[in-house]
Amino acid sequence: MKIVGCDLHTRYQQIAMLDEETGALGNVVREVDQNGNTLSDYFYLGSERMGRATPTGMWFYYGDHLGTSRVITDGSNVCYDADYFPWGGEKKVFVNTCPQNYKFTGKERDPDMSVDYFGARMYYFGMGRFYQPDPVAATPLHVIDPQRWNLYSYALNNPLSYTDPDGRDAAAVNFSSMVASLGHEGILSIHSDGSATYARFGPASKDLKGGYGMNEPGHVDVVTPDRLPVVQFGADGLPTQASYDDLQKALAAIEGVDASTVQINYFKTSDADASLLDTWIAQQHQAASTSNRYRFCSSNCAKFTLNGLVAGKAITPAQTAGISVVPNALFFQLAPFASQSKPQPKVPTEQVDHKIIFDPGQMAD
Amino acid sequence: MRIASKPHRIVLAVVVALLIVVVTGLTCLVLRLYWASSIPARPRTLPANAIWVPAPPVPFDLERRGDWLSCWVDRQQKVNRCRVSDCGGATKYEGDLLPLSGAGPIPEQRLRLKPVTTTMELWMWSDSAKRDVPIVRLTDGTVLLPANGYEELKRRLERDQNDTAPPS
Repeated sequence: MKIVGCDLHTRYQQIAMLDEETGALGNVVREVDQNGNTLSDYFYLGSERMGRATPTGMWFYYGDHLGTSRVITDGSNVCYDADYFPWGGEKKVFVNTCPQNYKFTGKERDPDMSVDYFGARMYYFGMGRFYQPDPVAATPLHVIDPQRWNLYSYALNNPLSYTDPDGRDAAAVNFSSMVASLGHEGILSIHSDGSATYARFGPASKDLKGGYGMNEPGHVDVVTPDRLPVVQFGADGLPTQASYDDLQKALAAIEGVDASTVQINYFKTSDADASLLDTWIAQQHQAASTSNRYRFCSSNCAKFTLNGLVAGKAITPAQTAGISVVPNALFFQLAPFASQSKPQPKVPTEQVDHKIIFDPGQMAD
Repeated sequence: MRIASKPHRIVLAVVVALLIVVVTGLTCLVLRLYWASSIPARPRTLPANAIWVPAPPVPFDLERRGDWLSCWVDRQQKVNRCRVSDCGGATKYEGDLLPLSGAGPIPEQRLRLKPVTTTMELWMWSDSAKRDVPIVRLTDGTVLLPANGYEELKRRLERDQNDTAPPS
């Protein structure tokens, strides 16, 4: 009798023994066996894998513009060299004396099932499709852009230009208690590695001479990623609750308000869209001091945030029609378009100073 | 001279009362705006070298937003300590700080805090502390970093400086 699946069982047992540690950006930084012995350490520059160290040697990765590991060397010799099809399959492997599993866009490939692990979903490069639908709730962009209609498609069906890094998004941040409870608004650009840039538009000063900031030269302030927490994404591709909390705390300290008054409308966009937002923020930062005048009722922080969301393709220009430029109203008007909205808690969190002890004896009756 | 009739007097009284309410309200608003945009008096609990760090400006701001930053030398622990307080003097952060380069503690006579434009330049997120921590700059160019998470902050700050340095 032929026993089918014996090899498979052994192989999965080996995989089960393997454990992985992930770094702050969600990349695998170490693989250990069941005894805790290190099998491999991985090194990164930003989110790009640069090297792998094992007890027996060191390897260096050379990626293309998508982050696919095209060549690997052991310091002196090429030990892996391959060409890839656009959708991620290996077209031709010229050299492969150092087998490893990090391939298309640097994602881990399961050699048995021929799928790539993209964090929230598994991707089959043979079909150029994910095995699971997009876990992010439909946004207006899904309706407007036909390439987003298929929830199984990869990178808007443009795999040579875009990647699907499970990140790179935009968020509108609302500070509800500021400006006499009319609120204040700023914008976040979140990158594939979880790093975030915060930009806000305001008057250059708020003294009597400038009408307490009502009509003054404008100023775009940009907070670089080094000053903000790195966003961690959950299985649904959206920031985890802990990440939201950290962002709220960091942004509250910057604006000088209480963290409980910070609310976030989060928009999932594509890799290319977030690049557009970064470029737009940089342009506004350059231009603000010379051309953008701050006007309380028309050219204000809410208008700036709306323009940023349009530039980053989080919303369409048509959707901005009729939207209020009062920041606190803007938060609620943007909520239907957002992938997720995190309003401030209605009831302040209370300090719990007692434990409820469950006594099974009391349930006997 | 004609004296206004009773109904007219009532209307006049209402108009005058409304005017008084509006003028008083506007005066209170202007005074509040002036108060909010002025630098608050240093709370008595803070040392004399404390500086006021305003939050980035927004228009029509009725609240005082910003932080007091003060530093001193803890002679017993032989370390610099800094405290960030809100405008009322309530402590938001207090901890030991170490210089970015060179040995500490920085003596009292050199501990002159460099004015900070806004709170955007004061705070930096610390992954290890899971909170915002202050980055303190002195007038002689010395930078002080919180001892808790020092290596991480130093790495981030140096990367930040490299990113923003003009090309040579």
